[in-house]
Parts: sequence; C-alpha cells; structure tokens
Amino acid sequence: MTAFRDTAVAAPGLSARRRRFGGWRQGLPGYLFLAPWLAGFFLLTLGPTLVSLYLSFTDFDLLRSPQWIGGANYERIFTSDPKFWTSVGVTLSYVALSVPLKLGFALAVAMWLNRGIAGLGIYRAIFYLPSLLGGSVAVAILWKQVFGYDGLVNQLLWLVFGVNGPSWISNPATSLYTLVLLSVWQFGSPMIIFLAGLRQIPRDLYEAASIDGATRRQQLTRITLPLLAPVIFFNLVLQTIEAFKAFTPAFIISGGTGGPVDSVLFYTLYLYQQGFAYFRMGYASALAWILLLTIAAFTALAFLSQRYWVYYEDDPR
Amino acid sequence: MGKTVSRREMLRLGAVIAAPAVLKLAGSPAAAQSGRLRISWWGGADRAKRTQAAIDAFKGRNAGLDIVPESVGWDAYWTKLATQVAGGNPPDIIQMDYRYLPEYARRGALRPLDDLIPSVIDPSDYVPSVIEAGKIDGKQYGIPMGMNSDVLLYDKTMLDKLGLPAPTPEMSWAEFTALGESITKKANKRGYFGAADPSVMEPELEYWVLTRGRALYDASGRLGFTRDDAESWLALCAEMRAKGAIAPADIAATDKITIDSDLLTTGRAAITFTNSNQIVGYQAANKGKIGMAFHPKGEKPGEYLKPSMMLCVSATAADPKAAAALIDFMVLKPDGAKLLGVERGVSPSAKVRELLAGDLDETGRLQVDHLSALSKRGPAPLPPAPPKGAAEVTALIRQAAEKTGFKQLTPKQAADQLVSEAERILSKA
Repeated sequence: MTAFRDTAVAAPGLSARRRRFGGWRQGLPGYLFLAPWLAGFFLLTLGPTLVSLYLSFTDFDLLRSPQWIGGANYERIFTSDPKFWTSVGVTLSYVALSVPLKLGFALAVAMWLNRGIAGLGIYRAIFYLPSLLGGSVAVAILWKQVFGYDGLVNQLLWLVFGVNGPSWISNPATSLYTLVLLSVWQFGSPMIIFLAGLRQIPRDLYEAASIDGATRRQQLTRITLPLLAPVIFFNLVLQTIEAFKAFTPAFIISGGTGGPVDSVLFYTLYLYQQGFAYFRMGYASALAWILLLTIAAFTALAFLSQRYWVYYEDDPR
Repeated sequence: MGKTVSRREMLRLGAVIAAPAVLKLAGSPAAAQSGRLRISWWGGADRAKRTQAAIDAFKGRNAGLDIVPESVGWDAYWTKLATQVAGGNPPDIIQMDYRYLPEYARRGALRPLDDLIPSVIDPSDYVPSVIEAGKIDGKQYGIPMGMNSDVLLYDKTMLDKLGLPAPTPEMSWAEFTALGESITKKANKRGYFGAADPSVMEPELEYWVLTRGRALYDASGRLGFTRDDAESWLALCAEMRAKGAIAPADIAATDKITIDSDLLTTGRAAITFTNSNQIVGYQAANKGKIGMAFHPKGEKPGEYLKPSMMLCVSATAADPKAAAALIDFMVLKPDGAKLLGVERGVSPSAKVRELLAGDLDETGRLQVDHLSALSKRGPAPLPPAPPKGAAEVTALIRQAAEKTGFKQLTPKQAADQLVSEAERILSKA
C-alpha cells in the first residue's frame, strides 16, 4: 500500500522544482508518449468542459445561438425548481445506501475468499462477473424482469410464502431499493481490490495476535480494518463518485422518466431530461457543474477525513 | 531514445494532431453535398423496411443519386436531430412531427417549399385541414405523409374468447367502465385488466378536455384547460381503477408509451389508447387479432384528423429540388406510396387513397374505415401545435396520474398541482 503514500507525499521542494525545470528536455519522450492522451484530454475533454461552463450562464436550446443570461440558470435551480431538490434527494439516498452496502458486501466476500478456500480463482471470476456486465443496458433490463410483476422475486415469494408481491420496480415505495440492490450486486471490482489489500496484510500479525489470545473479532477490528484502511478509502472515493454518476439503470428501468412519481429521478437523469428532452442545454450545463462541484466537495471531504481513520504502514505518525 | 525532439518539431506535431479538429470546428459542409441526399426518420423495423424499399425504387429512377437513410426511435430522434441542426449537419429530408414543426420552421432550420409547389410536389387533392397543418406563418414547410387519429385498440381475440362485445361508437364512459370490469372479472388472470390506464397518456387528457370544449393549449401557447377539467379526468380514472376496469398504478407505470411496453402488447390489458396508424405496429407485435374503436363518447367531439407525420427539407439542403422530388415520390407517386402503404397513416391525398384501396390489408382497411367514419361523425378541429415547454407538461400529466394512482394525492390535489406547475413552466418557456 506504499504506492498511495508515495504519490501523496510528493510535495515539490526546491530541489524538486529545479529538477523538473531542467528535466523538461529529458522528459520530452515521456510527453511524446503521453501526447495522444494529452491531445484527447485538451481537445475532447477540457474544451467541451470549458464550453459547458460558458453554456451554464446562457440560455441555449441547440437551435438558436446561446444567449448570455448571467447566473439566472443557477438562481432558478436553487430557488424555483422543485424537481432539482427531488433529484438531489433521490441521488443522496442512493449514494448513502448503495455505497456502504456495496463496500460492506464486497469486503465480506473478499474476507471469505481470503481464507484460502479451494478454487479461489473460479469463485473470484464468478463474483466478478456482474461487475463486468456492469451498468450495462442488458443488466438493467434483466433487473426489470427479476423485480417486475411476474418477476423471479415474486415467483419465489409465491412458491415459498404463497403471497403475491407487488411490481417492485414500478412502485415508488420500492423502486429505488431495487436499484440499490442492483448496485450492491455489482460488488466485483471493489471486492477484487479488497482481496488484493487483504493479501498484503502480513500473516505473522494474525499469528502473533492469536498467540496473545486475541479473538477473531479483535483481529478484525485491530489488525484487518486498520491495515486495510487505505484500500477502504480508495474504494470509498471511487464508489462514491460512481454512485453520484449512476445513470443507465434508472434510465432503462423508468424508460427515461425517472418515474414512477420521480422515485428514481437520479440527478444525472434529470440533467439528461433538461438537456436532451427539453432542450435546455444551458440549464443542463449548470446542473452538470453543480454535480461536478458536489462530487469534488465529497471527494475533498473524504481526503480530509483520512487523517482520522486511514493509517499508512510507512506513516511516521 | 537516441534523438531528442526539438521544440519546433514538437509544435509541428501538435499542429498535425490539432488540425483535423480545427477543420471540423470550421464547419466543412459535409451534409450539403449534391448528388447525395440524407433522409432521417423515427420509427420501428417495419417502417424502416418500407422506407428503404421506397428509397431503392427512387434510386432506380435517378441514376447517380446516392441516398443515405438514418432511422432511430422517437426519443433518440429528437435528440439527434437537434444536435445535427445545431452542428450545422442536418439531414436533407427530415421526418417532422406536428408538435415540433413551428419550433424548427421559425428558427430557420427548414426550407419553405412554396416555390416547388406544384411544379415538383403537388398536394392539391389533400384534405385541406391536413395540408394546412404543414404551414407555419403562411409558408408550406411540411408535407404530411398520412393522417391518423387517437383511437382505442383492443384484443379482439380475447374479447371473443370471453364472450364480450367490442367497444361501440356510442358507448359512454360508464359503459366503458362496465366493459373493463367484465373483462377483468371474466379473464380472471392475475395482472390482467380490462384496459390500460389512460391517465398516464397526454393524448387521452387531451381527448377528455376536447370533449369538454377546451384544449390542452390555446393558440398563444397558454394552458387551455382548467383545474376542474383535470380533476374530473383524474377522478374518473381513479374510479375506473378502483373498480378494476383499468390497470392499477404499479402496472401502468411499466407502460412507457411505446408499442413494446404497452399493456396490450405485454399481455396486461385488453384495450389500449393510441394513434390509429400504429395498429400496423401493434398487430405485428401481438398474436391476437387487433380491433379499432372510438373513444367513449363525450359531450363534444374529441377525436380529430391529424397529420401523423410530415416530411420537410432542411434549410441547408444542397439540392432542394431533388429532396422535394423524393418527398413527392414517397407521398404522391403511385410506386412510392404503394411501397410505404398506410404504415404512416392514411394518405391525405384522395388519389393515393383510391390507389391503395385495392390492396389494403386488414390493418389498412380498419384505419381507412375508421377515419372515414370519423369524418362523417364530425371530428374536432385540429388543435394548435403545442408550445415550447409542452414536453415538460406531458411529464407533469403523467406525474399527476401516478400520484393519484399510488394514492399520494387526491384527484383534486393532483389537478391543482398539475395546473399550477404547467402554468409556471409555460410562462418561463
């Protein structure tokens, strides 16, 4: 786990600055190799990003040229757009539910796999499979079948309990939870990362602990979790960003409406509606910038919280 | 690496990488190319097949002409078209909906066709109100391809099996409710109901308000109905729902207003509400035989003849004459019109209708018969095209229906919310 620390510690001192300045020519081949990526970043990512910042201060419907309206979009978003707040509520609930559940589940499976069971590779591949299918359209459609009126879940409920379940996916009381489950089910990639992290924890720590009479629980809270903290942190940041950006499942399951009754109106879906269904590109751009700043704020918060709970092995602290 | 790259070389390399992007920004008119026509439409597989056949036939008569077709589904179509127009790369021939015609025409995205009428396109025998619908501010921008009307479609096979009668033209809403109830009871199948929930569909609210002498929008783009109109409609649907005549809210929520997700197609209801020309698509997607009927009768007529879709020429088309000739071929020339059939609605041209009458299949005959019955009975006048912001109001209508359906609000509360929100949106749009 030293890799994380190395990048974090690379604060440029005086010598480092001189080295960088003089090394420009030496670093050139490196930049050349980076050129395709840099070109892509500057032309395809940075350009449109800046344009969208400009557009967020305009009224732009794609057909006429953008009209500068100052901060009116932002003002309208915060003062007279109830749907904005609905979508914020839905998204925050989704993030708050899906991220901890997914990480908890991924960690539990990783710890189970780490006990050295036979056929680890096969299990690992099987558990990773849903993540490969990822946020794909096919999976969202599958989910629609599983949690639909005649879906798998209701068939099981009927067989086991003899009750008729509702259509989970199209009921405002339950639809968001089915999407949370879908996200938890795709626990593969954090699991793989957790597994790698668990492998790095020296066995002798556990041996010493058990000789000293530590229980399994104590081993978990005193050895595993503290030593895994950097990996947990990494997964937390990644999955939080991922959850804020979730779009496909809600889009497919609600047919782009965010319904029923806006119960799965994710922020990204609302942004899409404003931009591509109502052709308010300026407004949608403003929404996108608010999302960007929110994700940045959450990520910054996570980084700031690190010092209270993330322990790096080579930390002199 | 033996040789280091000089700064100048680096710059040159940068220029080479940036060049194509700059050229693209400068806007090379890739679209407007003579000898090549791009035509774009929305619709399903059946429509694509028919349109391609017509295109091939037209190419056969115009050697050296290249025609590039583009087709996608309804939702994606408008996103794509707006992006293409904004990017200065629109197709030469654009399939257009009545709803969006004013928007595109008034922003100069379309070319008026008046100078090509009647020399290239001659719609002189069109139903007058239908050709009129393609006019904006006195200029002819759109050539309607067909006519349709809002109708009921029902699973005839199922009704016959249950021993129940088909909906009749003079049926009242009370009788319709009773029919729905009997279907639900007699079918006695979990998750199967008499009819789909009309309250989630914008055109059905329109039907209701038209029968009450109002409209969704007035000519100046304001909301054309009252809280009372909306409340009575939501209350009627709530009553039908409570009696089991129409599908409950959680099933209605799976209806995404497409043929594939419609409750008739998914086997959840025996009756649904849609446009008459779509019977072609419904029949293709359903095993049972599909029938067509009028809505339950209201005080005033609520069904009207509308242009199902139009063809327009883009303002930037390099060869508008060739584009107009293709339009003419598809909607007015016997060979083209035969290939398209009535999948896009019944032709507004008397000549073409007569020409097609001979080889109509069942779904074609049902459409023609229904529309001529509607003409006899007296249709409502064509309402003005919906204003900007109407797409959001459509979403609000569905929202109000779902809020009553899931019993989050009473019909009165939902109607109040719908009207005040819709007024707010229209005033800002």
